[in-house]
Amino acid sequence: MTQPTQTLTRSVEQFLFREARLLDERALEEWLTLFTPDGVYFMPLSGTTDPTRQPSVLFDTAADRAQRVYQLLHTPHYAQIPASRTVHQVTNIEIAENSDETVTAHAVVVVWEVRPGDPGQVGLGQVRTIEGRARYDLVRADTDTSGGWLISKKTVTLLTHDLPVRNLSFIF
Amino acid sequence: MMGSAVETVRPTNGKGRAMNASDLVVDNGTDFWVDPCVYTDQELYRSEMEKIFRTSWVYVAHESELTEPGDYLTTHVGEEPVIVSRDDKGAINVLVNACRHRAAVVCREERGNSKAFRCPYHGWAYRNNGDLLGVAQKAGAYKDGALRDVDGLHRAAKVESYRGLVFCTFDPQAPTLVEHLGAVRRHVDLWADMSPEPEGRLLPPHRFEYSGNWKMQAENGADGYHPAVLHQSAFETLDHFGVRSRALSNEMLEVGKVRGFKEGHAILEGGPVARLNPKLLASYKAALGERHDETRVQEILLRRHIFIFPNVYLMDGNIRTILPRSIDRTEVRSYFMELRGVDPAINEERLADLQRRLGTAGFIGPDDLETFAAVQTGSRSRSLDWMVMSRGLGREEDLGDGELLALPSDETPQRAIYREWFRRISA
Repeated sequence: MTQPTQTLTRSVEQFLFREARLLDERALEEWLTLFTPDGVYFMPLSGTTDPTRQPSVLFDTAADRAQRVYQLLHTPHYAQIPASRTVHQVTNIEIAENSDETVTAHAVVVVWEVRPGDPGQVGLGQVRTIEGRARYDLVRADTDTSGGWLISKKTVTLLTHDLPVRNLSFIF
Repeated sequence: MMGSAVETVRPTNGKGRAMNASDLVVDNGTDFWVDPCVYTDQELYRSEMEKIFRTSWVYVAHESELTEPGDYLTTHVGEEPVIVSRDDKGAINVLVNACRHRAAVVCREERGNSKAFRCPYHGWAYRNNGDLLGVAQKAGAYKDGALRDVDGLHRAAKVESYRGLVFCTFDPQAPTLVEHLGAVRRHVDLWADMSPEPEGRLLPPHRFEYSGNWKMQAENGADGYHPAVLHQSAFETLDHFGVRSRALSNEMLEVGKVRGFKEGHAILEGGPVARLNPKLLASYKAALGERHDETRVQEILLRRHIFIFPNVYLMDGNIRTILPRSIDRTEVRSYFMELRGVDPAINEERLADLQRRLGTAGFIGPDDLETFAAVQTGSRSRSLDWMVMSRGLGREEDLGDGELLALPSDETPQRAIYREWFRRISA
């Protein structure tokens, strides 16, 4: 394992910031293309070591992500009417490993979220934060569209992963 | 005129109408109406904590969460903090988690294993069956008899377990748990028999919180009227991908039923349990067939949501508990239940299916929770006198023993819940 170069670090950071922006812009179909075909999005609960056998907040394959995006963009998903507006803040990025083809990046992700609408209605008009630590396992990609990287695994451990969660129907 | 009698100040429901219990529910054969102040009135909420949660049998744990002597978990019965522990003799205790000295919670861990609980404040200690173990620095500190009432932590009046489900009550006059279950018991047996080897095993829960009253979740789990509308987005999504879940099919709504029970329990049932591929389904049926005859196997495979008044749902993949935190804040926990005596792949499929539908980021669950917030807003209306839960009155079938059978979109479950609720609140 070698120390990541400035160029590599910048490249990975830009990729993560772009992922965050796509989610904030609700460019969700483009967001789907940031993963490898077997890419996984995983949000464990305490003690989830094997997500096929133990519960987790989510454990999404490509098919699951596609269904999630479809439900958000193309159906009357009640929990997202009105739709959440988000600001994804990605910081504390550390490149933990690199080889020629793969990188692991750790980051802090804080999502500021609001369901716009009349604050006189319960559940609307209140900004909330959802915090987590993310680990991205990335592979180099050739395509221009990916920004040089694809996600083979995105793991987010929410600060409140073993506490009650409210509406997590948008994409963290 | 000089009045000598003190006029009783009755709480009002905010609509200028004095609130008697009798004003909260109308039940006359054509109409079943409930005042929406049941979701907003603080006095009523306090009354519920006493008259519902301290009198009824309340679900607190599953035996699979407390397998070894010394295992414990902490939770609440209404707003009463409790420790549920398996003592060294193997019995399950429900202890009030409040030190007899100066009220500190003696245990703040959610789970663990311990022979004793020592209050971190002044060191008073209790065995895991609640008995007082010791008062720190006691010698010479108290007059004779000063601690005469302190024999240990307070306890629930009764603790009983049925098919692995642990319930407690704070009412020493309560009937037995089996009596409380009444006619729902045979359905609970069918539910528990889903695990070929008794009993299933609970895994750590998905946890949710919503801004609404606890009774909304109680009403919703056996509500067969809403899925086609509220969960339309889930159906459309699955249809689009050609993976329409049999568990989400309209079978439940077409051939299903609801039931209401005089003890306040309720059921929504219909369609096949779980979504298993044909090979796994065959393996599952074979495992069941080793213990039960064919007729019973078919009955076991019916998908059920069983509500046991006042706080727990037994569902096809999970046990769902309802924890009131305040009048308009409720925590819900959904514990996936692993079946025992089956191919592990069956549990993997069931977990994936449950989590996708009803997990923390599921495509069905959040819609229900958002609707509860919407109901909480609407129930603040001063114009909305009544909620109408009359659907199906006049076409229910009375099966005897206080069990009513009706169509899946009928509001028999909600009426059963509110009739028992009303009976206890008015007492």
